[in-house]
Amino acid sequence: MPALLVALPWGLLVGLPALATLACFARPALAAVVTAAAVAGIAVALVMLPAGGSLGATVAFGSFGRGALWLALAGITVAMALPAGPDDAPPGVLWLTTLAAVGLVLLSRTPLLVTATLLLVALVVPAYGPAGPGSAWRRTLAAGAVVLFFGFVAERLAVPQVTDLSLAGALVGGFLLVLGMTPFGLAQVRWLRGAGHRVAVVAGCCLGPALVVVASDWSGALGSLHLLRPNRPATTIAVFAALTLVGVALHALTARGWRDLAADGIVADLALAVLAVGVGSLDGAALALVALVVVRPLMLLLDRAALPAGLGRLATLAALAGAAGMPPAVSFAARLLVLGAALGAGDAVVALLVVGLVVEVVATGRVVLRRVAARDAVVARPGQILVAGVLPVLGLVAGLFPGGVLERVWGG
Amino acid sequence: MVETIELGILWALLAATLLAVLVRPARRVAWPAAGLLAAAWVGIHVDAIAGGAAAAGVLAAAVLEGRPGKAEPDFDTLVRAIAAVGAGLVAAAFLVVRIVHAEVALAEMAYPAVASATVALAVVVLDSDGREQARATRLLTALGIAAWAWAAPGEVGTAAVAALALPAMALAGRWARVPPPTPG
Repeated sequence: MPALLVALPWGLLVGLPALATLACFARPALAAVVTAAAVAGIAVALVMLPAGGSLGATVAFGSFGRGALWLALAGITVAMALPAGPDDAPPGVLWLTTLAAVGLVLLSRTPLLVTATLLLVALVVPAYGPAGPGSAWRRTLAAGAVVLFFGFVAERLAVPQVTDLSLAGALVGGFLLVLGMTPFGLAQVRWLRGAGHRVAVVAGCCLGPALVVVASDWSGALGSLHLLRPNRPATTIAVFAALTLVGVALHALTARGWRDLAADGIVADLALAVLAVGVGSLDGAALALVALVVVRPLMLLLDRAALPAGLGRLATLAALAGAAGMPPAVSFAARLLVLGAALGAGDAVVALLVVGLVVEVVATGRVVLRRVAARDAVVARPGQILVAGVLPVLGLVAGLFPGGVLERVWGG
Repeated sequence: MVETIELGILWALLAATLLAVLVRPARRVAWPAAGLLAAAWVGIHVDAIAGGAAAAGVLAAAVLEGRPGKAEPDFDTLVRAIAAVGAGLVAAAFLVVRIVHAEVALAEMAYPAVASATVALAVVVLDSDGREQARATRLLTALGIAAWAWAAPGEVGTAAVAALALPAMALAGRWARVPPPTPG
């Protein structure tokens, strides 16, 4: 096959988000058309590229990364379909975040480029939300990127004076900071609650899965360190992720509506995915991320758009089942897989996980029982009606056939 | 001779960083100057192409960031700047001495570079001015390019691609909303 034909899908995968970013900054009014064209082009590129493909030594993605790319594509599509709030990020920033997510997945094995991308994200994305939590999230991201980079460089140089324990500490600490896990996650939750709907979806559904991919790709490096207990770094990440799940679920008890619940749920789903990576269940992580992309944007849509009565009830039911992890929603399968994998990671992880999941059910039920009405709702446009119809169906299909999702979307 | 020049460049890098943080009128020039010094060190010590790419990125970012608005000096900003310098210098000493256990010859080369990075990170964490945070972030990226070029000398292309992030950061900050100062 000619070299040009081999490089074409890679070029589309990186070039189209970059072009869409530039086009949306230059002509925001054309954002919908640009998004449709770019999403179609990227989808074609993803279909053409096999899982585990690579371009040179730097650009590559595995099956887990492939799934995250599909989710990023779904995330930006749904985000652009949501009604834009007065404080929401412009389309250029939404595409820039998507470009960063694609970059993180494709370059996840190159620490310098991961760090540069994270610093770029830290500079731009937190600005589109409440100032205080935004500043705190920016600090957390930037500090995490630098700490991770220190760990990566020390690992690459194999400096004998830097002990493997220090290295493990730097890498684990860096990942906890970047992923917004306990004790660093509160700023992210508060930012998500106050940020615009579109930018919240992009931050959660595009950037979140990409960060989990980076963590998953580097969990191998953690395992190769010479420690007294080789599994300890991964287990530590799992424990902190479980603590995050409990903390966010408790925080969700203060939710006043779909928006708050969605914000807390985004972090909870990411925590579940990180926990799954920590206990070695990539399938569980993949399904948790699918649940994130299907359920949380639906909640944000319910918060902003007044849907037709029948569709509104269907969407509410799907959001409720997804958030609470009830069958046949995909989040039920995800939780089952993660719980099964966590059994081998120790009683503390399992106990925290169960507590977090139960409290999340209570928090979700509390919001629904209060019959929360959409605040400042706008009449749903056809695109939003389509999204409200498609997401519950996707959630149902993914919940009924999780194996098929893992095979088709994640290429597992 | 080369070692002496390198040593001079690294300490000049730290001096430029401290100048950028502490002397308000010098900031617009001192931040890019620090980035250029990091690029110069890469060019001399590791690889001319990687150094050139980093320098081009730093210069492009300085040009693209646009003309800054006037900011009135205030006591709070000064305190934050002094805190950032103090925290950064102490953190660098801790890293070089306690974590890496560097010998004297290595420490006198490593300390100014590490201290520039920790001071820049402290500015990102402590400063309330979005534009200063953006400049500090760009210096962190330039220092990252230098560190990676040194740690992985064969990966010149990676350093060049990372240098693209510098003008991207400047453009994104200009086109996107400049982060507002945090109250208090």
